[in-house]
Amino acid sequence: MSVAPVESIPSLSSDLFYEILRRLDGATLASAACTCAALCSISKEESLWENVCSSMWPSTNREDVKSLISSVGGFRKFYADSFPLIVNKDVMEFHHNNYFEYPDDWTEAEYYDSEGNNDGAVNLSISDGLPAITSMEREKKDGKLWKELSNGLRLSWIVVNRKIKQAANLSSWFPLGGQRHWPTDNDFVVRFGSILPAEEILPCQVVECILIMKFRVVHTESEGIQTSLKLTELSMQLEDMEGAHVNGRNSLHILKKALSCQRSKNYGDALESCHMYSKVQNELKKEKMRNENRLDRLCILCGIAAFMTFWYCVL
Amino acid sequence: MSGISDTERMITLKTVEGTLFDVKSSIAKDIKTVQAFIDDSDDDVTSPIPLPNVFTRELSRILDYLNNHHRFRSDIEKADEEMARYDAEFAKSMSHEELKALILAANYLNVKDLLEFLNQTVADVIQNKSVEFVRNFFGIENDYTPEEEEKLRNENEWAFNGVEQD
Repeated sequence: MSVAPVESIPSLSSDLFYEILRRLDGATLASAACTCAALCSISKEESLWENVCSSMWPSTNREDVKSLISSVGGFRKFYADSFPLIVNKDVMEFHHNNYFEYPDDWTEAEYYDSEGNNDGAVNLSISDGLPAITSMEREKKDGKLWKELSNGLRLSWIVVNRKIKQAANLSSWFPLGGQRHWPTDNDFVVRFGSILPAEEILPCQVVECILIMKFRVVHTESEGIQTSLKLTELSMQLEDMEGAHVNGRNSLHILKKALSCQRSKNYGDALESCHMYSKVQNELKKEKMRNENRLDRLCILCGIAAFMTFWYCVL
Repeated sequence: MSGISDTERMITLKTVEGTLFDVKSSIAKDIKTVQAFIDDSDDDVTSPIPLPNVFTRELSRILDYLNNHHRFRSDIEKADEEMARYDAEFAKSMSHEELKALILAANYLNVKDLLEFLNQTVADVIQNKSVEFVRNFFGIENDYTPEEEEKLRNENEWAFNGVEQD
């Protein structure tokens, strides 16, 4: 039995290449484009990227989202813009596309007025695969649900600007922290976020974009006790170093800047910057406390001095 | 008709090297190219069907795969589990060159399931690998000028951090 010599194997056809590329994730697809002209032209196929996007963000299957994406340069660009952090092929998925748009003829002030005008679609199928909760006391002790939530939850918060055709993902994919059983026993708060540059906008140079998801455990007592998790709140806010909210106008400038800032698909990098930020923030807080203490002491001393002077004059 | 029932009917395939393989017609059904040949010929196919693009090594592998999958499917209870295990072994047993040759053969023979499985295997191999690895894997010539490549790499720069070492 003769063995086919390696040299005689012809190269795969472009149909076969397409079939293989179809099964890659976005990053590998992009790097495959750099191998040769033939693969590059296949990898530019929008349907490939549409596939990649919809497996990453199922809500990109919606017609309105599709038309939005094609209006800002197509799925390939959208993916490259909105996938700055590392992916985890986790089963749990939750995606929220939030559109902040500057219509062409609006000024920023007008835009600010209508900020409530985002059409976010929240599709939450989160209860699957979560451990059933029989009693909150039990959960309090071993925290199974909390572990699942903080390990399994992924959030993307994608801001799209139609005017400059840019998109950016403001989330950290993975939770940065959270609080269990707060404010009531049945509530869970999970925090995502990122650090955004604010040079020339605010004196503190950087701000934190905080994305908060709040969940509540709901019991329904039909056919045995069923527990499900309900999303009660999903919000975004920008806070500066001192923890103060950034005002609307500055927020918009910061968001606009965020659309063109540097990205990395390395999750570690993003996480590190978040940790660094909170470290600096803590330092600042301590510094401020110390200053305040000093000020307090000074005030007390002044008071005593004034008091003594007063009595000295009187006597 | 020859009176032999469908399940017993055997079809003979002939590879480039001239090796003959006897295949049950139920399995030949999965090989779309062969099935089309059978459907097209009016008479019963008794002479070997020549496969001018398929080598013995690949055909025996493909038939192995199909036979095993048929066997698994007949035992519904553990089918998925065993099939997954078999597939994993099958993928592991191949070198990159063999994998490519098998894809070409499966493509020519139009064995859908196997082709899909092989494509997935290739995708898994090159997932998260460097550009050079992918070039090597497919035996692709780099037809870019250094400037062109530089430009493309800059364009796709976001994709390159976190790439696995080859």
